[in-house]
Amino acid sequence: MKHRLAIIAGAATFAAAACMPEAATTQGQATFNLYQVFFWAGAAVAVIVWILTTVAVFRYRRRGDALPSQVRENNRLEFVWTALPFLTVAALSVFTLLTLSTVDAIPRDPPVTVDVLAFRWSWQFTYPGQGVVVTGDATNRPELVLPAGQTSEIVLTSADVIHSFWVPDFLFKRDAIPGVTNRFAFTIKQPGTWSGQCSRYCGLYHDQMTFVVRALPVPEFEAWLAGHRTAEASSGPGLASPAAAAASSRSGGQAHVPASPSSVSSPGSVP
Amino acid sequence: MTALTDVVPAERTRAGAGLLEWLTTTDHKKIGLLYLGTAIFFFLLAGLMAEFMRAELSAPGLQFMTTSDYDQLFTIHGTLMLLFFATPMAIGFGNYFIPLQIGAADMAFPRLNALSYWFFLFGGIAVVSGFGVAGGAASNGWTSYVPLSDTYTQGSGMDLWILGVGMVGFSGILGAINFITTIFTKRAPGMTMFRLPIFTWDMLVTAAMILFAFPTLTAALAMLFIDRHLGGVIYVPSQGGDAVLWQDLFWFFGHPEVYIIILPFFGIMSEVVSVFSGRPIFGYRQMVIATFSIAFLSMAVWAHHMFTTGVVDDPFFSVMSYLIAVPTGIKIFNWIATMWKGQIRFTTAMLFCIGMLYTFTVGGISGVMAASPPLDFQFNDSYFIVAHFHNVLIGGTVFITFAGFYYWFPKMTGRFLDERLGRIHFATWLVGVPITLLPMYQLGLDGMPRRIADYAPATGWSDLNMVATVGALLLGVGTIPFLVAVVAALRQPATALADPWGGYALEWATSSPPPEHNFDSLPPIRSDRPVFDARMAALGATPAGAGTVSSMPSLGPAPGGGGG
Repeated sequence: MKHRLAIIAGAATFAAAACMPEAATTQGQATFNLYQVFFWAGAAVAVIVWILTTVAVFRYRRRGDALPSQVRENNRLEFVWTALPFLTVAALSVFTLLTLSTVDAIPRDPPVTVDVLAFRWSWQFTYPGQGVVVTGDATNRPELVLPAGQTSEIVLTSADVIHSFWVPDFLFKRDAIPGVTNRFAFTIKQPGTWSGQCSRYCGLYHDQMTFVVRALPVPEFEAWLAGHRTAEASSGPGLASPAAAAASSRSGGQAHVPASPSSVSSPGSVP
Repeated sequence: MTALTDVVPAERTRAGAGLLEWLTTTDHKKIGLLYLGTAIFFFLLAGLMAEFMRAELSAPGLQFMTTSDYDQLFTIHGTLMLLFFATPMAIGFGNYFIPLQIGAADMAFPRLNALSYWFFLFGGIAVVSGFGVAGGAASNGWTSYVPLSDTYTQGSGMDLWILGVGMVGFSGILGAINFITTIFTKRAPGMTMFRLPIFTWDMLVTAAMILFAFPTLTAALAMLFIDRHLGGVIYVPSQGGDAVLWQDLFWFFGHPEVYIIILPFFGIMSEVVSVFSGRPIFGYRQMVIATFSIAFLSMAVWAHHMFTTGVVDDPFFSVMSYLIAVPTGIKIFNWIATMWKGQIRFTTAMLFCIGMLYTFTVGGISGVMAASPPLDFQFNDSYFIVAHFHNVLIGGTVFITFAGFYYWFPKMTGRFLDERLGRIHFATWLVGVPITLLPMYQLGLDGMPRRIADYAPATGWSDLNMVATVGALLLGVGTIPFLVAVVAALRQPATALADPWGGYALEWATSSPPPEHNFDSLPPIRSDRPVFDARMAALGATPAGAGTVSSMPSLGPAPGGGGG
């Protein structure tokens, strides 16, 4: 009885300790659903192994000196515990591949495309053809403004080392790799604000390489774009040159900052 | 029976020869002990680093160190744990016990064996000595991704890392050649391949994997060095190099590596579980086939570490990774089947194996989740992954390392580790592992990336981090009884008989510790359990028909090791 309680307590702890956040994108919703399948399938397997182990431990603890059964093979049993894991992972593969095609899908003509450039240690968001560029720095978390309810395409690369674009509430990340251009798309369900960050260790200020995703209703998004089209030249917050901010806030770390900020703003040196 | 127990442990206490003896030895047992002792030293060192890191993460802000210190700590922690603890620990056990298990007097190449050890030791010293140079030790993680580790990292700490890891790589290759040759050529008469103990089988397959995997690492390191110092641009994308190439090469080594550091421990688990259940290992042939399956599959799954790069074939590597769950599951079920209908003795070694079934399983399942690319898009480089691999490596490699120590310590030293301390050790670790790791799973899902020293209070990660830190502290404290037990045991006279546990394989057919030439005589080898067969024969009972009380006379003499 005691051990049964322990199992229930253990399973409850495990369940409580593994809650995927609700996804803010439709693609993330597919991942969220997939996680539920995996979590409960995994929990079932764990409980089977735990129960079998617990029963064996209590039932077959040493009770005397009699030599126990020396049976060492059973083809039927061995077939069962080869086939069952195989069927389980085959089913999980099907679920995975279906979800992967949803998550990786890129519409042919996305309403919005943003070029995202990762650099040590911030982000630059360029809206091609719109004349809008948002560049972050040490003190200003850059804001990636996108329309809600529409699919946005991200074209991602890096100016220096490998970074990774991660928005935990979208249940998605993709690496920003110098010399590689990665494309992905997501559809934000509702207007809102979410935090994002670099998840690939990229040097001393890796932990500060954060950004914000803000989703606006489509008309407001259009207005935002229009409002910033001319503002490019002015130096409002969030649009400052990374050079100035890096120099002002990180005098101690200058030796480690080879990503010259000019390489970020001049298109010629960006891979 | 005479052959088994009348071999009096010869007193060999030539204290004067001391240090020189250890420096020049080519005896596989002494080299094995050097490996095990050095690996445990690196384990404790890297564990201490983990405690510092957990202390730093217990609350937002930087309390105890700078970001740079933290980066060095997680890099050297990972490097030491994987390459200077787990791998050499397996090689150390293999060094000591493979010649014994196959009835040989030594390894095939004793001097090469010594060279392997010294490469390993000095490699470790090179990596750790990075803390003493300007700029500090390597700080790019144990994976050292380029181009960050390439031209973006100044300082000789990174070069010492390349040197040290390269040396331990060489050490592994030399050791692998030695193991393979030894197992193929030095087996005693009657020891056919399908009478090899499962541990020896698993070490054979592990050695083959090392031969495939480690040269790739050496090549990748050499190219990194060329880039850093000889003007190469192999990994420099702006000059035509490839930033992803390192990941392919590193993980082509790195994924087999994670099986290299689990298969030998699966082998130890098979030995311990079968002996303390009083039964033969269930599904011997299936276990061997499963080991080979894991080895083959492990060569075709490396890019599951690279799902988020967007440049690999995610579906292929996902399905191949899932398939590894099949042979791994087979092994788990066979261990349970071995316990089933047994007479289980709850020695500390057995307790750690039972604990492995509970904890490793969780790590295995979270690994299957991570093999799904969409889920990995959330898990990758988050604390979920940190929790996953610590769950596998602590639940598997570390638990079974301890099991191996409690099980084989009497054979190696003639002395027993105290079982009462052992039970405290086991209990704290069994409780400490979920307290440490379950919060990390949730932190990862909530968005906490790995390899950060600091996080904002607004993230809401403080509470779970504090719980994880308490768990890690518990693991640290739980290690103390183990160390006390080792020191206490070594201060006592050697009392262990040849076969204190009622063992099966040939290491139990010689004195504890064995003489320099290992065996005065060998029992006949007619199965994978020659010592068990000899015991039965001495009792005049056939193994199949034996059902009498007297048939297990040697089950309980270990101090405190009796029934549960």
